[in-house]
Amino acid sequence: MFRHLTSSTLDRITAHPKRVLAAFLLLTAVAVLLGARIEFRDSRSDLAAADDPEQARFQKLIDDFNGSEALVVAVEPVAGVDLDPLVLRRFTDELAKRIGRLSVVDTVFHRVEVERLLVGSLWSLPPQDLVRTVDQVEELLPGLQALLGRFGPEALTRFIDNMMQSGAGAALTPEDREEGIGRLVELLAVQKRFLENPEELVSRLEHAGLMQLLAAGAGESGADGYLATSDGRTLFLFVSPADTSDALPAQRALVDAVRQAAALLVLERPGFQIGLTGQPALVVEEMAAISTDTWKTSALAIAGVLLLTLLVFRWKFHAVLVLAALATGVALALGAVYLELGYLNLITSSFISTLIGVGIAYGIHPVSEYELMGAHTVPPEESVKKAYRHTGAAVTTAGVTTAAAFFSIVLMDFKGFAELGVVAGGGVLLCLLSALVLLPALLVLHARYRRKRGVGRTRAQVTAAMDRLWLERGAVYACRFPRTVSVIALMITAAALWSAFGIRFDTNILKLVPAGLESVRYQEKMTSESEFSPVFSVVAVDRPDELEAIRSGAEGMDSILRVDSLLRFLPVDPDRSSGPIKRLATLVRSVPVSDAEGGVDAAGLLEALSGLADRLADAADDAFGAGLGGIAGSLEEALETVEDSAALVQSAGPEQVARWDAAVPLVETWLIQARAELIAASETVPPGPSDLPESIRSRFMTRSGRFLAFLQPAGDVFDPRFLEGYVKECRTVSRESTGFPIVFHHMSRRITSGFYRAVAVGAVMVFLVLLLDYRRLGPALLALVPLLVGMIWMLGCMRLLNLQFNFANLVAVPLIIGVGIDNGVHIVHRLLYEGDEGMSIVLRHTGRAILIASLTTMIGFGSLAFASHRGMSGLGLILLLGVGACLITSTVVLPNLLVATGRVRR
Amino acid sequence: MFRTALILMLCLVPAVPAASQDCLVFCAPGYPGTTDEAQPTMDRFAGGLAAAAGWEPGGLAAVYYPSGPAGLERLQTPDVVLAMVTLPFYLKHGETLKLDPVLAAVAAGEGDGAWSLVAARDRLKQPGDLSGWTVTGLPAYHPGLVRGPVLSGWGDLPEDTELKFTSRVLSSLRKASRGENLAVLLDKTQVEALPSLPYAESLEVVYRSGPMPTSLLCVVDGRLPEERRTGLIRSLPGLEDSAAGAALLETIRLERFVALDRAALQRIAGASD
Repeated sequence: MFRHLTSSTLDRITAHPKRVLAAFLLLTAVAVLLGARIEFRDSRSDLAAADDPEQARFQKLIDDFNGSEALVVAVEPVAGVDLDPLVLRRFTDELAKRIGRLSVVDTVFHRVEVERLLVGSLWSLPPQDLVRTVDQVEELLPGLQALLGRFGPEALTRFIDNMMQSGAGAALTPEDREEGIGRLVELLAVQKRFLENPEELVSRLEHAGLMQLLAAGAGESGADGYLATSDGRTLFLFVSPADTSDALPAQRALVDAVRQAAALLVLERPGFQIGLTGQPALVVEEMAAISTDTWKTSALAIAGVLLLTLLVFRWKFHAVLVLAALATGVALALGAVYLELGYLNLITSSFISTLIGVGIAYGIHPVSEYELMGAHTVPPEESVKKAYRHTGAAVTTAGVTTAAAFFSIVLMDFKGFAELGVVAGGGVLLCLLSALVLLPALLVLHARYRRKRGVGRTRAQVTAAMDRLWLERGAVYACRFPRTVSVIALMITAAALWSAFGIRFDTNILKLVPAGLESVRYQEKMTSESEFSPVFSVVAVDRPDELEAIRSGAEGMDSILRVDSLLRFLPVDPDRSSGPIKRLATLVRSVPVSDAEGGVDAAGLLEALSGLADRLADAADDAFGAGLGGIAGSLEEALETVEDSAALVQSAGPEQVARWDAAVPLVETWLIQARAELIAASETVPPGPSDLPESIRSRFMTRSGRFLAFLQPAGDVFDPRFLEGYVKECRTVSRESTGFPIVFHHMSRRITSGFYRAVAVGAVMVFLVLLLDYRRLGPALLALVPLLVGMIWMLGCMRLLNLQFNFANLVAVPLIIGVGIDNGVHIVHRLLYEGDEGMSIVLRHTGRAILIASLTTMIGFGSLAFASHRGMSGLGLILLLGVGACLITSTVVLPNLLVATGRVRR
Repeated sequence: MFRTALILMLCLVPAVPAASQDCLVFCAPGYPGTTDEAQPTMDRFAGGLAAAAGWEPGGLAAVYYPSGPAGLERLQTPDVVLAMVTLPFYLKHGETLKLDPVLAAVAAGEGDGAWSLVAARDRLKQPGDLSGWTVTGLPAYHPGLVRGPVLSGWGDLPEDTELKFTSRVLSSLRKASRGENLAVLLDKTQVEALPSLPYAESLEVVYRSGPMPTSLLCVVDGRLPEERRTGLIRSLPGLEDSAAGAALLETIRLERFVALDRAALQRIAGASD
């Protein structure tokens, strides 16, 4: 009935080709008009279903807190330059200021204001750390005054006594003593630095004051509150965008503006280099690469397909007709996209290249048959009808199976892929429609035109006859050694199947982007060399006390490095802290403000240094004699520093002494200021969130006033094994955890589980279509053989080339199912039609079309292999392998198997 | 073992043993700490030792001397029945003081008691290179020990090599690292502490002696009755096997007491003359 229906339809098409053409022109015009209204959505959130709970939770956070996907700016000296850390910090401060002024930027977070925090937040230290800090103040203040202030022998001796007691006191534990001596060494180094270059030390006091020493003691960043790598050579700025949309234009505007501001500053102050990372930078860089790759690969694909089509269809206008039918199918598909969805997203926008690669085959088979039958030698209507009778059913089956396989992508449980399934599946059907209805009409009109114009047999027609000769010879040779070829094919299949089990699924999306991306390089640097990660999980809670539960919940978790929240700056236990804070107040007030006049007493200082050296030597000898090597070593280090200082004093001329004298009052001023700061710090009341600096509040609170806890990962979230554990532990800490790692992990699972479902359903649908077409199990199974063997070969080649499945090339499997089945369908159709005449006849009639169609598809898909984006190039390579393998298995393996088993004669 | 003195610094209550008690004198010239600082530990050790040997409670007192002359003087008083002395001290004064060694003591971490000669890197290849040099360290308290048992295995020292006792071992190492013609003898603990020094890279161990006892427990001038002497020799070795005994030894950083190899000691004494 189906064949009768197609036959009668074909009669009408060939009888009224102009009406068909007019109808298609009208439809195409409408489709183009509709297609022009398609919206392009470049937001990543559009790829996931809006009702997905994880996506919704993350989106809710993004709407309320624009730092969840911050742009990270890395600042460092240019390679080979040994830059003063202070200069780097000042440059970073200036950069933060300028970026903060950009309209696309909401806030910039680059430093915890240690001084302000300590003044206001002694209360935020854990009570035991607070006691320790107060002890340090007690120990450090007189010492600092002695070392940096007057250098009088008396003060210095007191300091030495203090330190020696801490350093070698037997009542202390070895750890206490080592720590005490460590501080002694640091202070002596400060003294030496002062003696070497008093102006430099005074200048440093602005940034490395007493508060920093205390902050270091309290466990704050050793880089004066800056967000830095462990070596302090790279500083980071977290830039929160003003626009929370994750659409590409918004992110590109942010990245471009920040990059421009940084470049301008570098021009003004050379010697620095800037790198951008974080999600916005990664996305912008990736999309730029994809955009370039898309143009490049599309141009390659179109040029390649055109060239091949024109080459094989020596009658050039037939190639144009095939391409015109394809273009019409694509135009109709675009119109359908508008009606179905109204938009294209980042994934569905690639469906056009898929359609070009696949849809061209539906025109090639009938036109190839038309030419081989000797077009123009009989009335064209009859030639066209005959060609379509021979190939139409197979083309229809191939198109429907391909569409079925594409539609199965809908089941991949990810909106982006699901929409690709819908638009690509629908597009294939429309290309099929165009090839079955419009193309025969065009062929008839073209033949009538030629007949009317009296165009005779051309040279191209002669070369088509040469093609037939080649094909006939090739077809005969293809099955010359059926048993040998079959055995070899079976052996290759077994080996490929065995090796295919080694293929894994790699979820690391950083491996998909082009190699050497700046954003990836700096992301890796952040992860490996600092305590900060550009990607992290976040929990938002309503009350500050809930943060404590999160912090304690994360304790002992292997994958969570630490929890960053306002808790770091809020009182931990005000009742326990009040005692030490009162002690601090009393202590600092008891330190007299020096009112001594005059400069450095060089002779007195030398004497004091000599005494200190003797004391250190004694202590070191005692420690060494007692087997306390670590302490002895530290004391020896201190001794060396003291001896260096003594040498400096001894060799100092009047000019150097004058420099010391000039610097001492400044140091005194600093000490007085430090004293005042400590007094202010000890007199504060327990602060609340509203008392904290704005930079802290905007980093750790949402716009609606919720409190954030950042669960900093202890490893690389793009490492699948680490991510699994990290997400699990984040979930344990709070069910409300969200952020990129969690959403990514969630989506990964949905995609991979949906993938297996899609492949299974796609395969079943393809098989059902085959059964429906052939009405018998045997031919349906036979048509599947090239696809199955071809896919096994493809997997074997993947293993050989060390390719893994990933999120970019996963979709290749349903695509190969859809495309690879076509060849088997055509071969089996021909077998049923003219199998009695032998395999060489079957191959002669359909081999040319299969070869051309496969080659055009391989060119279309293979062009992707030239992309710099590793995800795209990997997809292209796998598709190339898959289509190529299916070409060989359908034209060589299946025919030889059938001949070898005696089902068909040679 | 006398290193315990440093660990016990700042123990502020000095104690003087009662005149009626038998007394054990620890004498370790050159080792750190002071008599007063060490006294609480000495008291604890004396009490524990008496209990272990089965003597009446309070029947034994102990006192520590880090300097030779003070220890010598104290050892000549009649209440001193036992002495714990270093090997160099024994070799130098054993005959005069009539010290009769009964047990050897093994200090924690000291191993076999070998001494190592340390000097500036690449300056000493053979004993002859020590011509005009000074060899210093704790064993030099009895120079014969250095020329004989400690370094004779390496070769004969030149006549003009000076042997000088010092307790300032680290100062000597510092000078050696700065190029002075100085070589220093270190025990195992000190050798292990070498890498922590800032100038460790410029030093090297040139030679390591054979094993020898580090400390000896001696009866002084036959003042300990035979019964007590026998009980002591029987009870102290193996003390470390019980938790209480091990804790007692730990107070003065001793690992164990072992039976004395008299023949070996005589060979060392003979070679040290």
